[in-house]
Amino acid sequence: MLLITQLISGCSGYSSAVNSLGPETPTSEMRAQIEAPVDVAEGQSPFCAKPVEADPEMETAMAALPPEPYRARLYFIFDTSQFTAESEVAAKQVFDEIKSRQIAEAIVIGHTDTMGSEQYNIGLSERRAERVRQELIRRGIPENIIITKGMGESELLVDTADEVDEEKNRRVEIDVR
Amino acid sequence: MNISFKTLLVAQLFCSFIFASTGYAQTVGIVKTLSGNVQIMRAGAKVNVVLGDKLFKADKLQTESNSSVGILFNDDTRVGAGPNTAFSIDSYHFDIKSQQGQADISITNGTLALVGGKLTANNLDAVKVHTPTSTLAATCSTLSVKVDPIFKEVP
Repeated sequence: MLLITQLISGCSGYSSAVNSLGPETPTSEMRAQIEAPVDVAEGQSPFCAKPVEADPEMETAMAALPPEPYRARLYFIFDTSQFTAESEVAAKQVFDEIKSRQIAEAIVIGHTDTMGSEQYNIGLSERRAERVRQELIRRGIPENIIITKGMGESELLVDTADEVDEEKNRRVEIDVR
Repeated sequence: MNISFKTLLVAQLFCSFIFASTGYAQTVGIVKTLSGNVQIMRAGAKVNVVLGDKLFKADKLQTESNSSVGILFNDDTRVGAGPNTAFSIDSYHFDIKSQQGQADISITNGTLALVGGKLTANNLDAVKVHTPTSTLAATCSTLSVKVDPIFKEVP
């Protein structure tokens, strides 16, 4: 009798059996019940995997990880170094975020759309980058860590033909590290 | 040199999203966080690390007890080293245009945490951390390594 009970209860071991011939999906309600994930609280069974604990020795190394670099893009009104209305609002947030960080380097790169000559656009993109540089200096970012560059129309965000008025290309990209 | 190492490696890998950024100049990275005393061995000379120091290929770094250092690489890979840690930047290459490249970092002692940047985002095997007994690829994004020399025999 005891043997039979053991044999029957042994059937619960079926839940771990793998059906190598048929489909992996349960074929009956009972089987679905048996094969459902068992919710066992931590420590109840020696077979339960305990969550990976943070190694206290790793804490210093983790804390030493530098913060993720911050990147922002601001847009300009056609043929000017004035922010668009939306970017004027966004600029405040961007500069506040930059100010709140301990930064080692701010890279400011100006761009234009393809309207006008290449030469003119290099100057325009430089003026846009310079505008952002002045804003950063005004907010206390040290001058010597700001790098500016004007790319003119050489690195379009939205690829267009020449002489195309594209607002997304009239931008400055700020990379704060 | 007769040094026996028994290393204990704890590697934890998590997936996380990575934001892009560009890298510049010949330097491979920059010292972004610093506490205590950290030295850099470069071309036979040993100098104290200062916040904002630029790092180059083949640089070896050593943190003292109660010290740590954090590095931001050009591709936005971030590395944090705990106390009594010795590690080196064996190789580093990141091409801004193609956003590809590779990096090898060796740790001989201590603790190191790494968060992948563009290199790992574009190639899972691009960033490798070498320990005295194994090589770990920073496959997804976060990796932490601990190397404990249980005993060292000095001849």
